[in-house]
Amino acid sequence: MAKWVMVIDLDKCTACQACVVACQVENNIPIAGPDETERQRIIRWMEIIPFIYGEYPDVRMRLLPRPCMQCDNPPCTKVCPVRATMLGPEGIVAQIYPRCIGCRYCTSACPYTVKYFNWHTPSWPEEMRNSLNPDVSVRPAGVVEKCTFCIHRLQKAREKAAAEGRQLREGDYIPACVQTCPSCAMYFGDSENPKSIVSDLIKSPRAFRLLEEIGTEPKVYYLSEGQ
Amino acid sequence: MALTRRDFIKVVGIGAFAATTGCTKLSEFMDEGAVSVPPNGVEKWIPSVCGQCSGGCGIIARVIDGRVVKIEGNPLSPINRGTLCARGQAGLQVLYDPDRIRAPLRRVGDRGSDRWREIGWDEAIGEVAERLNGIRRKGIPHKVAMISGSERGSMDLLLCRFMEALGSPNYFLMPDDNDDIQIDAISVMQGIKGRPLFDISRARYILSFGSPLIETFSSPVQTMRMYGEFRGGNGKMRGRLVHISPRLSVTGIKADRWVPLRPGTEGVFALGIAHVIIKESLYDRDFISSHTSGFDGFREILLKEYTPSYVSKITSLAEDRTIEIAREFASFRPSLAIANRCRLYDQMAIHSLNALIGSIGKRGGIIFQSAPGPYALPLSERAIAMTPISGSPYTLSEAIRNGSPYSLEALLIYNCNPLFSLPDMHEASRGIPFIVSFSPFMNETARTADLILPNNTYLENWGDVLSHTAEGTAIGIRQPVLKPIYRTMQTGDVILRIARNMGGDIEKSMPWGSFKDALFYSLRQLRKRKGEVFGISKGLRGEEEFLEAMLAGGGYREPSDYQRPGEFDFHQVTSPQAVRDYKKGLSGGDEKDYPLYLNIHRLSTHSGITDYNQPYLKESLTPEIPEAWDSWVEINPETGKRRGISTGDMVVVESQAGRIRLRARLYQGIMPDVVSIPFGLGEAGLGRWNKNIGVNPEKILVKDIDLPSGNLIRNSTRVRIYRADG
Ligand code: SF4
Repeated sequence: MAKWVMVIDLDKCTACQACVVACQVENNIPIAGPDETERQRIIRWMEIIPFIYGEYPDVRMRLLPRPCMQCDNPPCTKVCPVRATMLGPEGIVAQIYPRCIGCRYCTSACPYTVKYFNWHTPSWPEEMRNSLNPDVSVRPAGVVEKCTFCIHRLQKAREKAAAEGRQLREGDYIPACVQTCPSCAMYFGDSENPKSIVSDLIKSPRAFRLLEEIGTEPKVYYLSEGQ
Repeated sequence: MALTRRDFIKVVGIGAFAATTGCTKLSEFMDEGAVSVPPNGVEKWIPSVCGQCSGGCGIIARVIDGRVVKIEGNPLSPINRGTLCARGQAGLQVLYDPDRIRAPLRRVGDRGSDRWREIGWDEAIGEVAERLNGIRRKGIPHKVAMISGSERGSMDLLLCRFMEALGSPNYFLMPDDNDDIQIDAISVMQGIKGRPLFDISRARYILSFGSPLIETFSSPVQTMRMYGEFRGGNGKMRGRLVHISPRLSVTGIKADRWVPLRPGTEGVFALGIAHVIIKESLYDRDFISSHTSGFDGFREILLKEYTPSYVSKITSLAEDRTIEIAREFASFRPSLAIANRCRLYDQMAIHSLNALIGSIGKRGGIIFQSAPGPYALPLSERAIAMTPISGSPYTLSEAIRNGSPYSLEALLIYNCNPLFSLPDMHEASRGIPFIVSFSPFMNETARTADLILPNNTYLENWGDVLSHTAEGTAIGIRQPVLKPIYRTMQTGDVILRIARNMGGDIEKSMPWGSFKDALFYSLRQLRKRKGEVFGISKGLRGEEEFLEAMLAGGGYREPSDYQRPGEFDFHQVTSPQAVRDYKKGLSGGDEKDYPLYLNIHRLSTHSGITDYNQPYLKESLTPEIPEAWDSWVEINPETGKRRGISTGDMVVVESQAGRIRLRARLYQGIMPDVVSIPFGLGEAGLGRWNKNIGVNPEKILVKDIDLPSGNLIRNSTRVRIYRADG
């Protein structure tokens, strides 16, 4: 069984936010607008988070691209009363919208703050509806959503491989953020496949995961800067 | 890197908690009838070229039953190799912008009254032709000017040709954000006009003097790819980056070290570094003896005057800093010094560092490819006797206002927004009797036009973009990925129709039936050259097959001829005039009344584009400052404390040229005597995501033109700042 893993090399990352926008376009993320942004209700499955250390002039900053960590031991699924969020067979934490009752327990259980609540029915100006991706459903009001590792792309890649009568190959399935990364700082693949790039990278001495100490077993790895 | 749970909660937690403690009843949010996504259908991927900046990235558009649902990078393009930046990804919000201009418009109220009437294309084209013919008949065609957004391809050549045929020398290219490097210094010191290429991926050490290296530089996606390689991608050794600037930008954050430096002292600091390199004999003797002149004089002045202690006095940096950086720069070769496009003499001082260590004309340094590009429309023969109204776009407004050397009768504006990004153009535009805009968007400039002949957006257009990579030259081919959605028309076609309507010589010199014909005319010539179609190396028979393959692959590439770097002239760096300029530092207002410098910084999401009505980009303005949908002014916390200003307060920033109100944001990454405001917001367009969003800091710039280069100096204005309520 595959185990999908993302690796982000912070040394190569330029924090350009191509991943952020690619994700929004790919996944039909609603436009927040100034008021909802002010209320902190903006949805960004992928987000660059700034951390600042020290004071002028000895100030250091870190800019961290943060998708869903797809934890192998996810705190969010355990608190869901209706099994609307659960760990899938290949390690992707699913969000099943029709089951979601909007209690938002998972939102607060997630230590990485990757879950977003739909406060309204998302709407687009009529002219923009043509740009919606038909592979991804638009979420209704009252449900929680988050990064899916673009799982619809996995389904499509599987179908395509099956139609061509072959196995899924490395690189057949990558999320939109990884595909667009200009500095090639993001990697994606199956860590169970010993020949994949990611299975090599996660063994790097630079590799770390966020809040590893709390035992969530994230499947997003970072490679540290400056080495 | 230690990231604790507390760090997370501090930075991102508030929103999440607010969301979980909200007390509104759930039922209020339950499905009010969710939006349905238009159905799936037949999928096509069509190659084209991004139009959000001049970088020339190849794209492929995913089209389903005539709807464009995603843009990806074209993996065959040598520029971007399958990737795109945030702007490239947001391109669908240009195409499907609900506030686009949908048909030709005639202004019916006063200028700026925003009252328009839709007219037909024949009427619009007929009127422009008639007005221009009238001006020609009076024998004053030089009084027609055009400002064009820089586009490196056939469209630029076509417009240039049109203006020549008309008899006007006044074809201006808008300064391009992506050209923010020491081009002026390179052209003065080495006599080279072409675009230099910074071979970032092979460099081992980069000294950035305030350069927006990873925000918006040259061809941004290509630069980011090279940056990834510089950081040890492709199995190379990891390069080191030092960023010197008053503000901690994204480039500064990503750098191995940020050195805060007082505005206007970059040149002196560079000369201090040069002093150490010379004194410690760390320079490249071979390069200096074979490729430069004037070194002895330069050396003498430097050793005498630009000692670490003098440099430290001017820059307020510790002497050790200069020495340490100089040693690193000279020893980690190949290294690169990159300047911002600032004052000419500062650029020259910085660029002299590249000459000292021989980083010119070689790998890991600055490479020069032969110009011009591999193809061209033949330019018309017509000689134009008149001199242009202004030598630089930055001085255009002054020339227009003063009517000197002459006044303007008509101004045509294509693919740019000069009223937003050139100083004083509002006032200047009032004196021009006839203004024509080709903008697809109701931006600040289009709003003052008399006629708007709206262009298609780039996804609906034909075109080509010439770009350079370290490996060679590429021409990306832009083709429509869908038919125009509205009653808009490709400006290339409009220009040809205007020419036909005007008749006579002008018609004769613009013989193509459509812009596509002109484009194909120049693309066909490529077949005789040594390059290849994207993705195909050989085996194409005949012209038509060649053209088809180019359209299917997205473009054409060929290896470069490298230009030998011109002899590098050290004299000028330490000429009496230059020395005077370094000493003078920045002007820009009285220090007592205006104690702070205004810095204007670039946002990667809002550079190089003419239309800012793109909500995804407004939400994610920049990663280091959590602000969206508004402008802010960054203030050092110490400076804020002394004035009783905290983050979120409304403040006034005031210079001799005016004042603006905006929100304060205390930031540890800004020097205490500098404040910084991002450029890109406050565009007074009518798009719903533009209108009343942010302010344009250039409105309070004290106009300061660097005479030797004609550049606008953006960091010399002094300001004061106070709470809006106090
Ligand atoms: S760098 Fe320029 S051309 Fe390339 S994707 Fe970004 S905006 Fe488009």
